[in-house]
Amino acid sequence: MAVTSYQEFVTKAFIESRPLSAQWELTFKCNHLCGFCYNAPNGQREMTTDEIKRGLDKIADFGVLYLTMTGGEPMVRPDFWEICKYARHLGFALRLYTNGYLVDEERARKLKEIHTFEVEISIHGARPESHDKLTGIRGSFDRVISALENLQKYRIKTNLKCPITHLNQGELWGIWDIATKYGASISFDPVITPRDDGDKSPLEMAATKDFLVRFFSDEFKELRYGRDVTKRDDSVVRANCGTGRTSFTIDPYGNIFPCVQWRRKWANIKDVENLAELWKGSEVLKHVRWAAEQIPQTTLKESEAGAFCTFCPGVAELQTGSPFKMYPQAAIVSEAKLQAYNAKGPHENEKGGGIDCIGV
Amino acid sequence: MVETSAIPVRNPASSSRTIDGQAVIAISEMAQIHILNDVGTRVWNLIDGTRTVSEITALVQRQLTEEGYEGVSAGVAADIEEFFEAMAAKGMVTLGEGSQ
Repeated sequence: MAVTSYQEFVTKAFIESRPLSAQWELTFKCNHLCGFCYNAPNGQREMTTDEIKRGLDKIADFGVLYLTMTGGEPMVRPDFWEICKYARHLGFALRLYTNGYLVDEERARKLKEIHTFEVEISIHGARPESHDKLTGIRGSFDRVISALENLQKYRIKTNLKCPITHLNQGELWGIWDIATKYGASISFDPVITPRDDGDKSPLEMAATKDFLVRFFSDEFKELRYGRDVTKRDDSVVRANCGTGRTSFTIDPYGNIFPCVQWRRKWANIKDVENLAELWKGSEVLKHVRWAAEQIPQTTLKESEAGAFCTFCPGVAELQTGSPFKMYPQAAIVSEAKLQAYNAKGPHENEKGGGIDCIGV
Repeated sequence: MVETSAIPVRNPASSSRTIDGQAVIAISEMAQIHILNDVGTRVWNLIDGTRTVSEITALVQRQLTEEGYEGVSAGVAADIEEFFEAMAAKGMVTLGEGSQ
């Protein structure tokens, strides 16, 4: 089937389980101390420059186009630029997910020089007091602003990412204004997840349910780029999300997972000989794809709010022991969406909203 | 009008992969993504910074003929020139002066 639009291309990749993107956690080291960070380093030796380069060769041969350098904070690696230049040499469209602390003018210029496709920066508040409180680093807010100025100067596409917490839920408009001022887009994430080792303490930071109902109402529609709350549309791709289909995640030790949230190891990039063969034949991947297909027909059918649910089987498994079991944050967010949806009255001729977590 | 002696060069800000015979091209400076059809993909994959427009056209025609698409091959030259014009207008390629 020939495709004519990017949307068709991504949908086809999803249906055929063809990975278009990879996230590479270059390191778990970080210059921030965010209380809600999901990383759980285990003290193993992180990959060397040469090991990463050999791994990049493998995923380039596999046909991956988008490569996100993430962490930890990827820019703290002394070989960060060597790795990025090598990735560009292999033809990846390079994305960088950073806290922005190290993006000074010189580094922004270098990001431009290597033709970085886009930069994503975490922002946690509209004021130094709130942002710095969440990152645990005094001056980190000012460094985000400085990073935004530098990236704007070099016209690098920039997206801000803001996990909504009860500490910053009153500042979302201020954060929106910052994004607008510096020509960045922004996405607000209403779900805080546990750490990868199962520690649930980050969940204490979650936004309040009352606020989430407001967030999904028309009051905050502009912050959702005008998008209405709609029911999921599982008729085309027939799976909960893109886990094990359109992307995968590699941790600093080389372990490969179906996605950033579902840490079921299916290979190690250092050992794998034929990534394409393993992608097709891995029992772990077959299972996560199967699970993702079951969830819209099972878990999400158990309540009216399920039709609005952005459900993550990885978080579910981490938190409840089962990838099919509803977990509190997903339930709260989908209930909030349902309330906002019902408050708007009858919905005629509504077009379904597709799925949120396609992984590309 | 594209000079057939011009040497097309890919935008250095581009990244691409060919998947199922279709090239997907991401260009960072414009945050653009393009999906090419079969002939467009053949053209894109033959741009190496040394071949001219006419050389690329001839190679695509030869490929199509060898694969049994003589009918398509005969009429494709004008389409390819037009395609180069469109790619240049979108910033996907620059058309350098050839030596011929």
